[in-house]
Amino acid sequence: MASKRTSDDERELEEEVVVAKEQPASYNKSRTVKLVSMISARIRLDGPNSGKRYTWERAGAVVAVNEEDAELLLQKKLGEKPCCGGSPNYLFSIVE
Amino acid sequence: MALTTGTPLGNTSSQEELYLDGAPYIYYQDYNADPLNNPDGDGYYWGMSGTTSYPAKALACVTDVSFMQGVESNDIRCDTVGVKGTIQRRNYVDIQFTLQTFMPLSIFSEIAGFSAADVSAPTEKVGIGNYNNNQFWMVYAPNVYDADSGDLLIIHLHKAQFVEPGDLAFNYGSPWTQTFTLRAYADDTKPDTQRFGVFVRSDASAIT
Repeated sequence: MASKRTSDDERELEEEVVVAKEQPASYNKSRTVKLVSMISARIRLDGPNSGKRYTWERAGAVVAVNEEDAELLLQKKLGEKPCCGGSPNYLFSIVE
Repeated sequence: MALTTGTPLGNTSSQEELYLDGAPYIYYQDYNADPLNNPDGDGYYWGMSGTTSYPAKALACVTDVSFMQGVESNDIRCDTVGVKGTIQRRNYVDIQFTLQTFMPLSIFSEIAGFSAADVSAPTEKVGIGNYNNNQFWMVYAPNVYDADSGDLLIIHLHKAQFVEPGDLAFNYGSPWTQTFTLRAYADDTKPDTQRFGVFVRSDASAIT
């Protein structure tokens, strides 16, 4: 009986072990996200996480930013109370 | 019997008992942007659609808005008979308005002819230098006169500049104000009959 139990236990253990699919090697390289400026101005901002300085020269300018900075940069806006039923003047949008 | 009522004989058309009130909203966009209808099915160039490179901008809370024209007129005067007619030339079309909001500076700088803004949180800077006389704007001014049915009148100007800045009044107890004029010039890229702009009315119940 004891040896049978041991055999069942081993089978269960084997079933629980899932071998992860092999991942491509990581070289710790930051991924980037392209953000386009939505306002007519030169914008200079520091990456909130990376500390890297980014500059958009004009509306429509596209800059690749570190992925870790993108989310907070996308929340940046100019002005607090947009008129005329307009939406907030967000500085950036993602380039698809 | 026509003499009794005073109405003319034959085919007549009459105006509508429809009175508009209030000013249109005023939007502007870089002249290099294409109008939304470029042209429409009838050959008219009008409408506005903001793009990432050329955002459309809305002016908030304008007052004293008026539509004017710069027309040059010279009488055809015959000394033997008198004036037989007038030769008129439209030089420009103006929308004059008084601005009461000055933020963000990136928009005010375009209206006032200051330099392009520099934005670097938490500051926004513009320089007071000289004018960029090569900067032109497209203007879109809609007035919705029946919000329930969406009836509206649109003034679209093709190629305008902000000119004739008035005094910036630092009023105590009331908003700062400054008067500007959006002056639309002849745009020779558009057909002769719509060199300066276009009026568009959309009213499904009236225009059937």
